[in-house]
Amino acid sequence: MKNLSDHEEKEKSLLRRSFGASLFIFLGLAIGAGFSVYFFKGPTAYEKAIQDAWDLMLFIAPRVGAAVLIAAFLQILVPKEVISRLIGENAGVKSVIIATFAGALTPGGPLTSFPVVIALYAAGANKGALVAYLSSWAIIGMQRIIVWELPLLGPDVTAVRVGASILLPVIAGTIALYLPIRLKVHAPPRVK
Amino acid sequence: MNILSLVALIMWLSALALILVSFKRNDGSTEKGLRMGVGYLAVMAPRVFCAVFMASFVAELLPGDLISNWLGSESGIEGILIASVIGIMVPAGGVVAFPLALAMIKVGVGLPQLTAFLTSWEVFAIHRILAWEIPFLGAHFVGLRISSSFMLPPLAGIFAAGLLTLFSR
Repeated sequence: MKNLSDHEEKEKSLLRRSFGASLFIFLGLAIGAGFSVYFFKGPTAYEKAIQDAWDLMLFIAPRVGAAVLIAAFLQILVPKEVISRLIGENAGVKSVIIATFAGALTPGGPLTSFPVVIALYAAGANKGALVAYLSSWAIIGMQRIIVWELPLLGPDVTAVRVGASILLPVIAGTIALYLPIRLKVHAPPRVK
Repeated sequence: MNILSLVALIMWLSALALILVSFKRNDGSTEKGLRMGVGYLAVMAPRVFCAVFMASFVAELLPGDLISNWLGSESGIEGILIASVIGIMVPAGGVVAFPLALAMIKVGVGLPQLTAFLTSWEVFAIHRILAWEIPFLGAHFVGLRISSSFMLPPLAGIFAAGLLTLFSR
């Protein structure tokens, strides 16, 4: 029950954030950019930009619905406890590879991923696995790919970018594993 | 059916599959997921709307010749390195970075250079390090991560160039 009410809390703050300050800053930037195009490049360029934007909107709209559903259900269905146990129990390059998979599958923003890193550290994960996990979440995180990259940049660009990046977390994690730096992690602040 | 609508179809089928899994669990996660999805949509929709227009305007404003000169697919390793540096300097989330990437594609930035740019932003996004990583994990961890990841953006660009040559054969 406690989890459910946590989710409800999150939902409310999400809705409140929907029209929060960041949106208005962003809207202001978009309008400013629009004005700049009109004044510096002329009305023809402005109209072309608007037309391009509408075409892209029509292209994106049917995907955004699916994207948010995938993001939400991944977040609920992926069992985080199992993942952190798997990473904590394994050592060496194997743990780096498991951590890479886990990072890619971790949905959500920094509010989900950073607490997981701390949980992994507490569960005994090595420094290579921690670096691999965070790199993987940042570089090939499924949610960001589904929500942003695929709709905005299209499947071709996404395929090349992800294909070129898929080994990077393993590389970074393996280097971190053998770097002569000892890991110290802060006592984390309490997250509300 | 073209490849793009195929992607949309696959996305919807995946969403439905996930919903089905949650439904089989029968523990209220279906309702929870749908509520969350609607919450995300409320956050995403107005931002994507702004992002698309901004990308389109920025593409008009960017100095296309200059950029395709420095970062076009002909710019090679140098372009990849420049793109890697530019990526560090985007202090914002996906809502800004991806429209910017789209605008860059429109003005002729090469795919390896774009890959280096996006990877650099993903690995070193300065706002994330300052607002999340240092407070949560400490400067020590940031040091470890940066010393094992600083070469990743150029590496991603080079891998992307390799993939492109492989597939264009």
